[in-house]
Amino acid sequence: MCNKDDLVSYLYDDLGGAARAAFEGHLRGCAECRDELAAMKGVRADLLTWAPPEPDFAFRIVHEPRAAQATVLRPDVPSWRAWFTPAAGLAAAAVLVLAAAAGLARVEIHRDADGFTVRTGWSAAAPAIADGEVRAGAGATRARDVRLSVPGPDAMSELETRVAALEAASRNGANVRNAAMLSARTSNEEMLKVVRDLLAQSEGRQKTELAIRIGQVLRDVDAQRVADLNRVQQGLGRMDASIATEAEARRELTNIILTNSKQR
Amino acid sequence: MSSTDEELVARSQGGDMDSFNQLVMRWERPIYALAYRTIGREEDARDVCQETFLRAFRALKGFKGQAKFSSWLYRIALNLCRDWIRRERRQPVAQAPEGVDLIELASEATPAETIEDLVARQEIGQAVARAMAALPEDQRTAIILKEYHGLTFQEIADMLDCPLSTVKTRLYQGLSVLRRQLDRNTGFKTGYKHV
Repeated sequence: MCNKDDLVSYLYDDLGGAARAAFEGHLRGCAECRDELAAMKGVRADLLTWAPPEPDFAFRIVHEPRAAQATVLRPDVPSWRAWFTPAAGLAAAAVLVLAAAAGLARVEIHRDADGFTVRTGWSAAAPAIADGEVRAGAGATRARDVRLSVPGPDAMSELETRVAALEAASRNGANVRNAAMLSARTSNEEMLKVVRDLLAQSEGRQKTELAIRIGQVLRDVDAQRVADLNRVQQGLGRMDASIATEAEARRELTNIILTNSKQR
Repeated sequence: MSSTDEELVARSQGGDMDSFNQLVMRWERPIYALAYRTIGREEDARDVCQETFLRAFRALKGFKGQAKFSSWLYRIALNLCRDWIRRERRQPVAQAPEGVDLIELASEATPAETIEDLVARQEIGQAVARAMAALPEDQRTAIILKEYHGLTFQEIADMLDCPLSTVKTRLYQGLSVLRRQLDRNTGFKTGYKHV
C-alpha cells in the first residue's frame, strides 16, 4: 500500500532515519511511486519559474500627529530661522529698542511756524509757553518743551540731559541686541546639531536598507540558480530518455534486419 | 550586524518606529509575493501587503512572541487574502503579460541563458500561474507556503489550523492537479511530458 504522506515528506526531504530507509525500500519495488516522485520533482522545478513582478514599495509606517507621543517625519522646509540672519535681527532689535525708548521718554516732535518743538515726558496737555521758557507741568511727572528755534541756556542744558539719557537708553539697547545675537547663534548651533543627528539617522537607515536589498538580491540569484540547475537536470533527463529510446529503436531495427537476413 | 526579528519587535513595542520600519523592509517582499501568488493581482497584492503591516503595527503590543514574527505576518496576510477572495467572490486571477517583450526578457537573462530558454521559462511560469489560480484555495495556500516560503509542515499546519497530515494531503493533491495541468499546457510546447 503506497503512503502518499510519506511520498510528500520524502519529496520535501522531511523523512529521516528509519522512515526514510523504509520508504526508499518501498520505492525500489514500486514503479508507480517512482514515477509519481519524478513527476512531482518536475512540477516543483516548474513552480520555481513563476516569479511575482518586481514590486515598487514606497510606504513606511509613521505615527499620526494626533496620536499620543506623536512623531511625524516632516520634510525639511525653511523656517523663520532660515532668513532671520543676525544682521536683520540686529536691525529689528535696534528699531524695537529705539521705539521703546521713545515711548518711555514720550518724545513728541512738532513743527510750526516758529520751528521744531521736541517734547519729552508725561503730561496731560502742554500749555502755551514763551520762547526760551522752561517750566514744570501740573502733573507728578514733568513735561519739557524746547523751542529749537531760540534755545536758551537752560533749555540747552535740558536738551543735553535728554540726549545723554537717550544715549544711555541706546547703550542698553545695544546690550539687548547682543543678547539677541547670542540667542540666534545658540539657536543656529542647536539647529546644526539636530540636522547632524537627522543626517546620521538617515545614513544609518540607508545602510540597513542597502544591506537588506543586497541580501534579497543574493537570495533571488540563488533561487534562480537552483531553478536553472533543476531545468538543466530535467533537460539532461529528457536527453537520456530520448537517447535510450533511439538506441532501443535502432536495436530493434538491427534485430529485424538480422532476422530477415538469416531467413533469406 | 543586523538585529534579529525578535530584537526589532521588542524595540518596536517600545515605540521605536525605525525598528518597525526595518521589519517592514525585511518582510515586505515575501509578504507581497505571498499575496501576489495567492490573489494574482499586482495592485491588490500591494494593498494587501501594506494593510498587513498596518495591522501588524496596530496589534504589535499584543504580539507575545508565541509564534515567529514572520509566521504572524503570514497569517495576517493570508487572512487579508481570504477576505479579498470572498469580497471579490471569484477565483484568483493569473496575471500574464499580453505579449512577450523580447528586449525586456533579454535584460532578465542570465549570461548562460539563451533567449529561447528565457521565453520557454516565461511560458512555463505563465502556465504555472494559470494552473495555480485554478487550484482550490487550501491546496494553493499549502503549496505557496511550502514551495515559495520554505515553511515546515508543522508551521503550515499551525498557520492554517489543521493537522499535519492534512497539510501533506493538500500538497499531494495540489501537486497532482498541477502535474496534469502543466502536462496539458506545456507538454506539447516544450516536447516534454512529466512522467
